[in-house]
Amino acid sequence: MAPRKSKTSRPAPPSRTLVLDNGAHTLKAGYVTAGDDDGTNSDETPTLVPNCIARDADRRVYVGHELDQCKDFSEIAFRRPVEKGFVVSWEAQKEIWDRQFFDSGAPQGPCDPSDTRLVLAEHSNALPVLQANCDQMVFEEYGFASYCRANGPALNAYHDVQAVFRTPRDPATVAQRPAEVLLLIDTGYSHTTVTPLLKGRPLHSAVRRLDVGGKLLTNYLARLISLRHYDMRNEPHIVNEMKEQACYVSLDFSSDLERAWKGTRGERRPEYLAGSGGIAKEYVLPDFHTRSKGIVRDFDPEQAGRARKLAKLGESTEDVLTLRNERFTVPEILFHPSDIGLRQSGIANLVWESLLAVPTGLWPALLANVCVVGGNALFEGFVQRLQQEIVRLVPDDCIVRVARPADPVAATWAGGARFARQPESVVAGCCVTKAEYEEYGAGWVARRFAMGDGDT
Amino acid sequence: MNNFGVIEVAGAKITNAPGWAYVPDTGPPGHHHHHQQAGKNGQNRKRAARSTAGGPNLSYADLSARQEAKVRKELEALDRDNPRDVSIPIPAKPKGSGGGGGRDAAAKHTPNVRKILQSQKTFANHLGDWLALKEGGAGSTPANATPAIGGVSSSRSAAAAAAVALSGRKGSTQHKKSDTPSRGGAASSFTKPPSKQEDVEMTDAPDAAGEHAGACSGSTILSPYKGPLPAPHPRDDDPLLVSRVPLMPTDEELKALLAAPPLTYLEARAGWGAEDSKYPVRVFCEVCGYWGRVKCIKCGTRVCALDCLDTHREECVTRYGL
Repeated sequence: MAPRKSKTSRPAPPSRTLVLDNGAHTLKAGYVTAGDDDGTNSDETPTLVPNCIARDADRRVYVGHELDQCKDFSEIAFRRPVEKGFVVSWEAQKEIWDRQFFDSGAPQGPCDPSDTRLVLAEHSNALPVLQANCDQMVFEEYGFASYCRANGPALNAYHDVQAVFRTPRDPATVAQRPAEVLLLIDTGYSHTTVTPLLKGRPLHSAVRRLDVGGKLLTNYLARLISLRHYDMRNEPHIVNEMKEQACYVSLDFSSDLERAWKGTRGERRPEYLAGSGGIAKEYVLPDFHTRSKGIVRDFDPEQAGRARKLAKLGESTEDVLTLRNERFTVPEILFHPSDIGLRQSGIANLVWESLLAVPTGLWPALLANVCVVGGNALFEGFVQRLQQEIVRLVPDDCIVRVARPADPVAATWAGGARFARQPESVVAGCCVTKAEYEEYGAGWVARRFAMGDGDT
Repeated sequence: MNNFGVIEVAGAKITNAPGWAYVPDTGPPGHHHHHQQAGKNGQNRKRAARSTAGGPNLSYADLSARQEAKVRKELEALDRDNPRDVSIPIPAKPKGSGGGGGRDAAAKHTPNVRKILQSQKTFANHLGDWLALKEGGAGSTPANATPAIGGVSSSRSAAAAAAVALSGRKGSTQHKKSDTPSRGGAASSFTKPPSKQEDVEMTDAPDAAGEHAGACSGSTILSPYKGPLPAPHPRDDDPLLVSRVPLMPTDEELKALLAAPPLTYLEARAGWGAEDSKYPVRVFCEVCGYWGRVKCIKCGTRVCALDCLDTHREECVTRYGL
């Protein structure tokens, strides 16, 4: 056995870092070089890759980024390696990673793992088996020189958080990284989590998860549309686009619902016919010949009447459906999961449950720094509604500030990139090298991350 | 008769005997008691007739069970990636792009990797395995594949209690901590006893981590506020206007909080709290999405008004008969 290296003669750090936020829907990846100055590359964005293997109606298969070549998304089926936020099917994940990073045809050139550090964001509360699988794949299959399985929410503390909140401050102030106190809400494709962070370290006993994410919302919208308009259950892609373009979070749910109501008896309420004060929208479905993306447009009663006549004659060139209360009842599930029979607290109560697990002294600081990341944060009105609901729950004395970074989807990645650019001594302290993995084994690595990932 | 030790207690068959009968109890657990009561009162024949007839003459218990099952089925459907079962095999690599980074041949996988790649388990399978392991092997030492995180089977409340209410033990643990400042901040006072002997290895960990953690946590975890204070006001001392600021947690409390082990997957799941049960569950029209004010007598589905009830009736009749 080779003599153990003393701590002074550690091998030189890898020349660059692959920061990877392996989301269930989209994989966010990009290379970071350690020496980069913080200021120059602040606007850099990751590559967004669909984390799926897709098969279209012609049975052609697309892996990861190849989905861009797909022209016809009707009846497309997806195989996703990530389930509930965690990589489960490594067979599929390996194929996507290979084509994205390692093959000679990779978009950004092949990556040499032996000279690369991997910072991989993972969700809290993972199953130990899946974590062990992940570690083994990283070291045994790919052979990364150095590897950090970091807590995804915690990486967000490396943003300039006070800039996100637009805190008035001296412009010369250097952002504190990691942020001292942060209450991070990550609402992604698989689920929504609340994580209080102290100095960039998660308070594990207060992490809470709601099993509602983008996927559930898309499926729910597909069900509603299938009940009321066309059968869209086999069109997850189209419905997902519709959700992203047309849905919003209502700031006054019951009054919006009243306005979108058609009326009791045969005759329709005038407000309903006039478009319910802007709630009703028309969605023009893509036909993948002349139109590859759906279009949202305002509901125009006269045009709607004409279109209906044309459709009856079979002369209509477009498939239109009118979205009414679907637009806000779908994202509403994030706030009231019980609306679909899911016996779980909504986001605001999730925050409350999480707060109950931390000392009261931390509440004012946490509530003044609530940051929302993840794709669902893009819903119009989401941040305002969340603020509204949290204010209703917490003591009056607490100031509640809810904000989202400019790009909530890539926020975790960007935080990870910031983390990777920290001084080498800090980053290396959170990483495990290949030599260490080979010497101490997978169990040691897992324990190391379970305890040491607080260091991030 | 050799029945292999299996004794039939009650069959699914309904025996019509005068006075009483065994009937299969199909209701949800909550209604069990109610069934027994009914049996004692001698309404069994009606009940037997009802349950054999099925369909339209459903009792209340059957109705709610059916609705529960429906909700469960719908939630499962909402959780799927595809509406139907599809199996998309891994496509063959396009020519000329195979094998950068020296991992070209599939035969070079290590046994671990091969096992992982061939695994067809879903998340639900893994979760089930893990639960079984936790229940079965709670006392035994965790295997290689299930490191300390699995072994630390702390319940949510225990972890929270340990983190928040840190009382008697802090003197000794704190002392130990100050003796070994390079142990790493997270690996401080609240490591569980079972993993302790394994933790000895942790001292072998590279010192970079320990030094960094020590420097970062320091004497106070949170730095005091140094910014400008608001201008004083003449009535600052007025007891009616004074604002009450909760006490900041002590360093020991914060350290315990930071050192608390991660919750398990199920523990972190949000529950149905007291805050939620304050308000009644909202119900919606299943046809148009408006408030569900009216209930279909036959199947219990909520609808909003007569229009939607008519729409629903059509479906209800095709599904359950008249």
